[in-house]
Amino acid sequence: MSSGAQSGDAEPPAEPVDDARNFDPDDGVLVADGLTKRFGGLTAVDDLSFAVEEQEILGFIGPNGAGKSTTFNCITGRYPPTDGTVYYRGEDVTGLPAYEMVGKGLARTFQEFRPFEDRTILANVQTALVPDELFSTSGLRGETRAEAIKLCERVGLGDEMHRMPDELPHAGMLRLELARAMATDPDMMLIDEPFAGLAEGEIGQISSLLTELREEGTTLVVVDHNMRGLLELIDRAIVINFGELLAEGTPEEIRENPDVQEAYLGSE
Amino acid sequence: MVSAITIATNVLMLGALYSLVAIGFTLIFGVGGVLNLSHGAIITVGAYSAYAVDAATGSIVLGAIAAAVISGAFSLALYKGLISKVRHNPVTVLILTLVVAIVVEQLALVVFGGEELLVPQLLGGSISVLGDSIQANRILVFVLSWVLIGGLFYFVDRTRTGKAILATSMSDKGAALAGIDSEQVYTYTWVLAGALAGLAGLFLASFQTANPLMGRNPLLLSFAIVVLGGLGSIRGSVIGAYLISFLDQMTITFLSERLAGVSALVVLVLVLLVRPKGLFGRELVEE
Amino acid sequence: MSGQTQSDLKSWGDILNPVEMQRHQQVGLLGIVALFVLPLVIPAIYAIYLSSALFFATFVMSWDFVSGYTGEISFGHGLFFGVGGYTSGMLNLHMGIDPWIAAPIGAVAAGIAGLLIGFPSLRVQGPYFSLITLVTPIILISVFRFFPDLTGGELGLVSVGTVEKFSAIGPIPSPGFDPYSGYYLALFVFLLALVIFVAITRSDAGMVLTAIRADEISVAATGKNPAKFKLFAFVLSGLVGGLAGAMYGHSVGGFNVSELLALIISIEVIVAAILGGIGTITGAAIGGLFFYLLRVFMRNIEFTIPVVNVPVGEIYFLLFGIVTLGFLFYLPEGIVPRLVGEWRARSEPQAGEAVADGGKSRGERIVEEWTDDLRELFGGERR
Repeated sequence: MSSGAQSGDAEPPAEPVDDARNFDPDDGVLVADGLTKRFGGLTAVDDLSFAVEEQEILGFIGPNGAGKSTTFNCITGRYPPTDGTVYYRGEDVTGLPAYEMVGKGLARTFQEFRPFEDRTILANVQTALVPDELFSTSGLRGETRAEAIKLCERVGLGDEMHRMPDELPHAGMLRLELARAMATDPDMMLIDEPFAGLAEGEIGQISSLLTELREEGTTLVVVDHNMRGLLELIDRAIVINFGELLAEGTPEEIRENPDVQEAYLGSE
Repeated sequence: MVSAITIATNVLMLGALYSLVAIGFTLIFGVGGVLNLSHGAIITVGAYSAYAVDAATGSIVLGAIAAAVISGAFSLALYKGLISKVRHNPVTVLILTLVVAIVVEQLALVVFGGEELLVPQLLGGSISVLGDSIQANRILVFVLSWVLIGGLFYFVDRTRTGKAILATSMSDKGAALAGIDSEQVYTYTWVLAGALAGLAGLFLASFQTANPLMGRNPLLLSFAIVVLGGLGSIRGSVIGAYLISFLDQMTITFLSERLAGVSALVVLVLVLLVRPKGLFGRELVEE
Repeated sequence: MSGQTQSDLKSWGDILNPVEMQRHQQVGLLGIVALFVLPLVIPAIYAIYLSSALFFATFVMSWDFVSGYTGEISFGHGLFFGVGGYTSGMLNLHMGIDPWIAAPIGAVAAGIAGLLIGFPSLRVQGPYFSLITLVTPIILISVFRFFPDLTGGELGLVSVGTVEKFSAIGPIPSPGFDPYSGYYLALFVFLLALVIFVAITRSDAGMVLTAIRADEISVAATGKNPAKFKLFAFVLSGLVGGLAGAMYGHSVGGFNVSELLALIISIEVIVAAILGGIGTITGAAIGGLFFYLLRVFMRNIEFTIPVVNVPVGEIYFLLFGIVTLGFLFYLPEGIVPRLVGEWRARSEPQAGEAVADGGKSRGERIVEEWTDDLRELFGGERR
């Protein structure tokens, strides 16, 4: 699919993207097939199809407003897609509510950071660790707390865990999002725009953490609006714009893709 | 079996009466963002004022004027003295107005006693309509109520103050940008709502009776009407009032006298469940 | 400082050992012991007052469990007390079922009512839901009045017939007729409710309930089904409230609107919880006891306020309204959290953990968020 063909230029895209591509449920850990989401008259995601392979780190890139968050809200169950199918490990999970998707093994972070404001960092992670059961007593005996402490230290919040979320700097909030997502013991994590607002050094630290997670077996999809922080991190990238697939390939291929370059003209 | 004429009269008249009460209630909400739980008590104030003035002067017309004036003044005092200071905390306003309502009831009890008081009718005698005899007073109340409602629509549509009120009820900020003095608007609204409620109180009392707790039922009904019609909408209040009045009369006639008011509450719950903004309410922020 | 090891985990023995507890927990335990011992030293009439107070405190705890934790503020909790009580009373009156059996059935009925009320809470915004809870008991009261032969209408079941009190069990006298026996029954119900609610709110479920209020989407994102937890809170609240209502009716109290269903009860329960401290359960328990006993005291004193010439007894509720207003302004977190806070501050000057709400109590937060919702509905700005 070409990038919204307004200039009428006849140059073929460097990376041919098949209009009629169809994915099998088994093409990857997560498969989106013909995903479409409309809000009233606005089509935010338009017939998007892609597959995420086991244990890869996939970059999901697009300018602001391209439909990245909408795509993942549909996939993670925040709201159902208007059309299309989502497969997780071969199973049709289209439209399942968020808590069930987490149960299947898919966790996400929130770009806009959604901590529980009324409790400490540690308690935030504890809350995330708690199982979906009405009568679990692990909390009373302190098991959950011990686990939460370990998790906080893993993401680098060991010194801050007794603070409140509103005392944390940007990077800290991101770490909290990661800790909460990790608390659910996922096979696959969707990280929504982690690098916005981070300093160079912090980007490096987070990237290391994500790479570690991948080494341990977690598949990762990292959403971002440009490739600044992603280049060394990701194996592969998918670029979308105006809710449609724009390009796909290795980071180098993506960077040389004229459609991609055109889409980003002026937005960098 | 009650005749159809009587039922129709009741529906028409009570609908108009409830409209008066509901409009005041919805205006205070729409303009000031205040849920005034003492609105029912102002009805009581109106009724007792009329009674007292009539007892003193022998003229029910003076009593009617008193009902409007005293209630309006009471409403004004309530706003200026209490509400304007705590407007920004809705919970405090709720509790305050509730307390005021209780105080008014207690005062009425203490000053006038707990018995039902007869308030003279504005017009005596009865008229024969289609073979049924209807109290002239009821017809007069109906006419007067509609005169008031009509006047209100004209007021809101044509006069500067009225338009200011309408603008403020739609958007505080927008109205401010248009140079409307919101404090003045609030003041007018409270006085107006109070006067309307006071008159409604007199009308109600003239064909029922007056007692200290008379404001409770109208308040509950107003709630239902205003939610059904849409908070802040005058049109909605009138239509809602008639719908509720109709439903209520049907329930009383065909089910039981003891179920008076229940249909309104059921409607209230249903509206809240299905379409909280009611028929003509403004768009609320989606969660 | 860093991680706790496996051996650091507390065992049940450690948690329940009184010597190890914090000061305020020790005081609470002492209070419970006192409640056990009290009847030995007080005259029978006070035992009856205290019994009613214990039932009332149970009502308050059931309210706090929902409104103090999920943040859904119910203005009509009397619905559960009434459904529980009346179901039990009517089963006994019309079908001759023994009270000991009818009461649990009443509790189940109230639990179902909890479920029915819980569903709207999933769909409807805070203040609107509160309005629904306000109106539903009123509708029920009207329905009762419509069926006076079944329900006794305004006057309660007593106008239909005599509902049996609990029968004696072996050597234990009937709680319905023996004040001390009735007291221990009330105490039993109270303690049962206290233990259940404290256990749940201090456990994982409690964390989830309060998290739902804070951010429901986040809760779902961490794998928990918010609807399940909310409904659970309502059902359990209904069960306990209904059981208390039924047991109350078959022992020291009666089955009528004014003691169970009326709006005034629903409001008193809220006031008591505010005084004691919303969102703590223990605050609700203490607030409930305190409120009820104070109310009894005020109704009985002969003092007449001079200028207005009204006996205190008649306007006690007005006075409570004013006091509540004062509390909302000056002590919004309630008495118990304030006291606990001070004790903690005195005994642990160097707290390792920050006060887990950064200075704001749960009650404050809940009222604030509900108020924000209300303000938003009124077209204003969120604070």
